[in-house]
Amino acid sequence: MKKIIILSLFTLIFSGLSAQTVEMILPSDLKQQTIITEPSTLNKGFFRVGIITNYGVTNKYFDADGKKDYFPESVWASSWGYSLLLQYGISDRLTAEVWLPYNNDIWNYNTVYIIPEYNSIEENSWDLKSKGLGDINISARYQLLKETDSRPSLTGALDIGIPTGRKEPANIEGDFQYDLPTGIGVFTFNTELKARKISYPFAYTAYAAFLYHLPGTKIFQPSDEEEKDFHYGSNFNTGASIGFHMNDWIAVTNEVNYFLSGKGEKEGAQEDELVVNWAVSYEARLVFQIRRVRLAEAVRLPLMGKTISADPLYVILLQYTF
Amino acid sequence: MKTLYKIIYALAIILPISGTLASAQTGEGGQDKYTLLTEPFNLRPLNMHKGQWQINTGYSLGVRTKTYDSAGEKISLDTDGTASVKHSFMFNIKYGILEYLEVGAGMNFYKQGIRGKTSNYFSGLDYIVTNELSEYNGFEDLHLHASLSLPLDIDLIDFAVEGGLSLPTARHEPDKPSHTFIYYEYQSYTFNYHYNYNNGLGVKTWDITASLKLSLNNISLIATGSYNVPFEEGESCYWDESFETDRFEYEKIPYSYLTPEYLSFSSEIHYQAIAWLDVFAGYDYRRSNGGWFEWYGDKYAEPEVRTSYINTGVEIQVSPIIRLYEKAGFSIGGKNADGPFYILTSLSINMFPF
Repeated sequence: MKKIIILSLFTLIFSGLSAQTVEMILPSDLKQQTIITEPSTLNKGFFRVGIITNYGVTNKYFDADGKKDYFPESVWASSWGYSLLLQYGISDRLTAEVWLPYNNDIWNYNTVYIIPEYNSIEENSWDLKSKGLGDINISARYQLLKETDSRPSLTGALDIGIPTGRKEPANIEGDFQYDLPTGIGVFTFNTELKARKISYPFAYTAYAAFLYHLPGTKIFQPSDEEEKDFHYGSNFNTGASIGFHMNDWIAVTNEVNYFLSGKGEKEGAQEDELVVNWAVSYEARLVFQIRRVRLAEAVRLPLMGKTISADPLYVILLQYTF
Repeated sequence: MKTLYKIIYALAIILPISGTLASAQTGEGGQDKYTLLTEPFNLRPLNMHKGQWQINTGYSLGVRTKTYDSAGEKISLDTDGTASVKHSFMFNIKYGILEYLEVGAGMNFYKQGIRGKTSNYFSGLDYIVTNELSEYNGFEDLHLHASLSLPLDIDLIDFAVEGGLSLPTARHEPDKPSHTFIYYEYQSYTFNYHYNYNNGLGVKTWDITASLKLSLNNISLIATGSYNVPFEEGESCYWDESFETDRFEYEKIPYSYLTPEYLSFSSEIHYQAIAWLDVFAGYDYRRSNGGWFEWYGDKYAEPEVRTSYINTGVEIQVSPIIRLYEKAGFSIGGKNADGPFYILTSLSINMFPF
């Protein structure tokens, strides 16, 4: 009888052990971790390539009183962005990133001029385009604290924006026909702190970032005869997100973000040209992890703000981890 | 002590076995429902199964960058500065009363602001700018339907006929316009005309739909035809506006109208790539017929509206109860209609709660 009991207990113990064996993670499995289960930096030697497409339009805005309204005039702008994102895990704690953006924006303003006395009707159209390489961003992310059972991971990041995009109008055919800049024309420095805790099937994230623009000079309008000094205001970004698994390979994340842009300076600027603006946005992401391939789509919806766009931003991301 | 050994022995043996049995029962007892809930598209009937509930909800981002005139010529709106965005939210629920009889209800919401072209008038010393915006905001009417499919029990073919009724639950009469006026110095003015429309039809309509599905291995073809007819003429109003010194005044003008009849046709080809992934492409066509409206006492015929779209998308079985749909549609032709492209993300929640 004793033998049978001992045998049965051994069976139970070993069945438990086999379950533990299943939970062991192989190195190749690490490359298949989802946005919920992966650490906040890449593992050593991992190389990830991503293509990011974003689409936004100019349709509504928050005015100075925070009221959301349509742009009243017949103006329409759309912005397609295509970026190549390269990430490499230098160590289990340190990741290097390069972000190479290509911009494809259009901006149209069409209006009719009517002068009854001269029996004249004339149509005037601003057709502005912006195509080309944008400002490249290079980053380093370091896990200051690794996640444990009792505390979240803490990651610090430094991003440098390099003004590789064209900073001034080009191909000027007239006041209403020219190519817009594809970059802002100055270096930027961004620092970020991010805390992250995984409690499967959930992951919780909170972050705060500060971006500083260096001062610069450039021509803003085709009619400007000489470059003007400017200094864009600093940006503050903070937010938190909750992500969870719908099944083993589909995850949803929900993020609330607060963005604040300080008042900048520009030589000869109008009083209302450079102002403080802010927005609170909600971003929902749907992320598919199919082995080493990650496909995600996201919509960012501004909920409230001041002197800032109120239009959604649509993002599609495709990544592969080598 | 012997009793204790017996109890431990019994637990040691019974616990794993009972666990296995329990899981087997769950599998067996729930297997029918599990199988029904995870049916791939090519094996799924057109209607709900008996006792099945389905809740569908989704969001569509539409961008109206072109329109078609009465001759079917395409007009680009983005170069005109009058393109716009449409946000749509859909919600519907279906229930399988019998294996071949389904009922359902649905209601959609959308919001869109359509800008006109900005005009600048120079007259004498006056400089007047006018902007125009037509905003559509609110729920559409509640739509009820019952669908009966043929009890063929043949995997290859399925056929369903659906009768629908749209009730005027949403408001049709436009709200009072919210025009604004700005006076600058030196006889310079801006008039912002802002019209506020609602999305209800204002009348009851009925519709009949026939759907045919053919499945062969992993390929399925679906063809659907639908006809929508109003029950009656409607009464609504428009707002007559006048500008008095420094403010707008509005007068409500009643008018009668008859909503056009609509004929729709759609077809889709589906490929069940793997058990949880269905890829599809389709074509939608819609045209109006008849209809009229009054304008200051005179009756005018509604212009004929035609739209043609192609679409493509995927259906993903996320879990036994959740299906996820991603769909993108592109306008390829039309007449007196807008031609937006759209991206639709929707969730379908399926269950047998009882």
